[in-house]
Amino acid sequence: MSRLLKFFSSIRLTVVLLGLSVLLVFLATLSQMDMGVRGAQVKFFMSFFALWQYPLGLPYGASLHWIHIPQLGGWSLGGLLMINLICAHFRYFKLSARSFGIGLIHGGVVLLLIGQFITDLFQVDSSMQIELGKSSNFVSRFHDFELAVSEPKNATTESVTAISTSRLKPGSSLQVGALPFTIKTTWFEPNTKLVTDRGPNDPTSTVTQGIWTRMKVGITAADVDNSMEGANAPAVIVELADAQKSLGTWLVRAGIDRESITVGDRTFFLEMRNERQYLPYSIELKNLKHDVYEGTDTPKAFESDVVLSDPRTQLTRRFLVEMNEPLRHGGLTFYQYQMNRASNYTVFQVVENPGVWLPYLACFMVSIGLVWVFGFSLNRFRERQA
Amino acid sequence: MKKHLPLIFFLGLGLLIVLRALSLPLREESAKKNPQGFNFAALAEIPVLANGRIQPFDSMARNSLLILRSKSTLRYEPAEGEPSDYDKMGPLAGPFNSMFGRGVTLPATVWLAELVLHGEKADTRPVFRLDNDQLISDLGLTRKDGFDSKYFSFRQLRGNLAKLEEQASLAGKNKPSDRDAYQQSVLKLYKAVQHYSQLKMTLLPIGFEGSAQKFLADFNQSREAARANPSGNFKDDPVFVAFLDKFSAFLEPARFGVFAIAPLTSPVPVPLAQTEVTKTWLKSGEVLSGVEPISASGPVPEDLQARVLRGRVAEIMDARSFDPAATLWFGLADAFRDNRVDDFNKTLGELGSHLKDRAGPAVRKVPFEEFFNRFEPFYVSLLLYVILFLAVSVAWLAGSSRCLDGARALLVLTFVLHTVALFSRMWIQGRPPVTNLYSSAVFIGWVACFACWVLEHFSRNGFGSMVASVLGFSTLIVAHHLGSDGDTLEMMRAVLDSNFWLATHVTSVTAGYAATFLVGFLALTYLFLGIFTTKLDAKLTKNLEGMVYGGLCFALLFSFVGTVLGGIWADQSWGRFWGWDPKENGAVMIVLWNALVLHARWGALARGRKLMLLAIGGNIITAWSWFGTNMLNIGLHSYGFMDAAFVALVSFWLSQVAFIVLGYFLPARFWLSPAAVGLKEKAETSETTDSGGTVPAKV
Repeated sequence: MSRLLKFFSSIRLTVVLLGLSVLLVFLATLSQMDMGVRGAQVKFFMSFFALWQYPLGLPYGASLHWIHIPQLGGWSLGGLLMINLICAHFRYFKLSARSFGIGLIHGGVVLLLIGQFITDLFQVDSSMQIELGKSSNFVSRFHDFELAVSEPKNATTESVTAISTSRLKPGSSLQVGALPFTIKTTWFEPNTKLVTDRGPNDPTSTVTQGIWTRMKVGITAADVDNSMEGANAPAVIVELADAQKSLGTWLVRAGIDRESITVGDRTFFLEMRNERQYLPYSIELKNLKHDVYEGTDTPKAFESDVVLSDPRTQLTRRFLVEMNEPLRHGGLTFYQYQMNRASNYTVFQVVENPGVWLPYLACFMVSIGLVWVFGFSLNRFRERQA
Repeated sequence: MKKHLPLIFFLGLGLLIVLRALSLPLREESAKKNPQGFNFAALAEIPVLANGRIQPFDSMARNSLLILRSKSTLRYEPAEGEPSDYDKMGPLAGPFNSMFGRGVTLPATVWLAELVLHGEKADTRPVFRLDNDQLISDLGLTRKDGFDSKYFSFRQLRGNLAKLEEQASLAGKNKPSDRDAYQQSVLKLYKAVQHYSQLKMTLLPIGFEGSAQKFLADFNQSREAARANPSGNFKDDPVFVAFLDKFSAFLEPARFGVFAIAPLTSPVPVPLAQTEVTKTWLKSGEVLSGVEPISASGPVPEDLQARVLRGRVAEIMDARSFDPAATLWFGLADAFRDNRVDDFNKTLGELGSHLKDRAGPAVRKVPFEEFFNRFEPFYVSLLLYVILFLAVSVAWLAGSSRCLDGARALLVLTFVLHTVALFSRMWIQGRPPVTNLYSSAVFIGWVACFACWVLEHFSRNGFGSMVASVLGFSTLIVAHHLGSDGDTLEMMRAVLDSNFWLATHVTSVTAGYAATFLVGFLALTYLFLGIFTTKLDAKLTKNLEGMVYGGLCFALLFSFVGTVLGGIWADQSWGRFWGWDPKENGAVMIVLWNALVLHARWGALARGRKLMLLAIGGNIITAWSWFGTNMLNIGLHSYGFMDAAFVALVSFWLSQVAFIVLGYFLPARFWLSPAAVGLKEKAETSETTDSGGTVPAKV
């Protein structure tokens, strides 16, 4: 047997990899103090290699921040564990009642790893906000933004051209769709904050059009917030130009009212917003409920009473979305996420994950396998006792 | 007969303790029917509504004392010649409290009765615990002024409340993690004073004087007059202003009062509330000045306040009569203030039967909860675990199997009591066993105790009993500390309000913690016996290894299934199977660690002593997962920051690391049983079978 196979199938490697995994999970959890759950997830679990640093948020953070520990990332450890497992089965395992259980366990573990990998790559998290009595047909990405150029067509319809922020590279010029102008990016930051006094080098000094020419506040880059609830406010400065001349320079920032632009007899609106995905169906909020326990502020229940209308299948149905009771439709799942009863709106978290069924299967396999194998052990133990 | 002597002795001792604990609530039952002095025993059972649940007055009192002074009873030094109406209150004092310490015990119910019925009377009781020297001196006090150098009364604090408020608002501006010990004490005391003041105005406004029942009569008269004389111009109408005066006196109690006293025949929806609230009970202030829609903690928009007020005045003007429960409570206050014992007891009887009729099945668990409070079965279990420890130690020292039989019987008794306690809690709350950190500690102890009983049943060598005593005791102590900041039967937040997932996910994860701890403590016992005794022989070692192996298998099974069920719950509720939340990471660390130890054993990388040392490592991981993750204060599972717990956690970690280092490096000559732990002997070998696993070599 080749030395390589021997190495990759050894149980010693399993133990070492498991040990490294425990260490990785522990250190990554500590790092969440500094970089948030999502930041740590990307850095440590969705990577092949990571350099851990003692977090500032822990006791003595400032004086121990110099400590660095190199780590194999989640994808390396997951991959190696999988190789290890497969080689070990290839090398040792023969069909017997007991090894059937072990096979089940390990098969399940492999599926879990694959499932998590698929989730890492493909899961998309969005939200949908609906006001009472209104309906919505799009979801917004939690953490991705887009520059939207909309042109009203009639009272209820707009034609929207959306440009993902990844295409807004300073210095690049874009001609998108049928827009009668080009969009030249001169400045872009994925997160910004406002400052009260504009310095001489403030980005706003180049702006010639829109609300920022009338405001006193300036703008500056901010650290990207990677916490679970973290909200970033990207901003971009664009120069629009038609065939002949420049139309002016605008600053567009998330969370600020959209700017209107007139080109000939057409009016456009410019806005930085959470990236939207339009759905072929709509959801209307009929009623919402936010219960608390009597004599406390502890929430007891959140409920959104909605009607889903899907013109494709002519389906119109009423659903009650509440905690632990999501609405599933067309590959998306809508979970009750936030609710504001004073302003009468509800927010759903909307998730699309093609690998969602894998963990269920995996867990079923592992659980059966564990009971199977330990059943054997217990039986042997009892026989010895007897 | 003689051979059963140890069994009779240990079991008898255990039973004696249980009976002693039971005798008090039983005596109290008779005291209730035949009161001498104020019938506080009956008052303890009066249901009130607070924190979203109906509970006995006694629970309200105990949990309030916990908030103020981290203990559920109150001790004080009676002043010279102080007349005591409460002398006959023996049974209320709790089974073992009166045996130790200075001063006399004032039962929680009696203290709360003083505070609620006659506020000024309670102001001299040393209920505020102050541990920070700087804070004590800032409040113009010295340790000498305090009872036991740390408990102070409201009267002692009263002069310096402005200073406290100023410091608290400073401390409140800091992030929790940036607050120093002084600021934490300030905020804690501030919260305590707030709670105290709110309790004081729960029935009557602060500073209320005269007869409460007469006030009610005046109120009615004033209202009739205002109604009969609607001049149209309310502002200047003296009759209306007189009514409004009385009405306004109860606005603060309506908003800030801690518990509700009057059940309604039909629930009323609360208009204008920020959240959907349906009231089934009213506070005393609400009975007099209308239903309060604004929560005590939230900010109040001014226009809302004005609208609310108009609505409430109209509501009260229309009402015909006040709720009888409020009238009776006011009668209680009058009788208590005037020291009219017979009137007090008579009114109390009427109140009790009125509430039973009015609230019906909603209050059926209240007397049991009160009994549970008094019986304190977890406390009694704690004592039994100590006795169990002593019993096993004696048995081992004497090398007597009879004594071991006695210890085993005691183990069963302890387990039964622990079970009764756990299921009582579950019944009172109507929930699966684990709903918060407190109950997880109780449950871990219970699972461990059960597993130990099973182990002891098979091996009969005392190991199960020993580990049960240590784990049971430690987890109940942890629970005791966790339960020291208020009601442990709190309501579940909406996200967690799912009995199915609480029963499956939370229960199995917690059982996984318990199994991992069990294995770790078995390994610790092994280490102790190996170093300090000559008892550890080959047979015992083999036996112990079997136990550890079995325990590891169960630990892996429970922690894996539990973690996965958590993933499924998260997928059902939030649309993600796995979110890398600290608590989830903690759970997966336990799974990985147990898998590691088992693979190390199967691969013959760690056997005997080394396997035991790895098992001790499980303690470190589990403690992290159970407590450490909550201290990070991030994610869905964080229950709050706990400073003192951090020190405890780090100490526990260090101790475990020390044991592992000791077990690994200690040379053979320092072990009293070196052979059994594999020192001096040749390293073990193992062979691989073709079924892939490995067969254990001889140890």
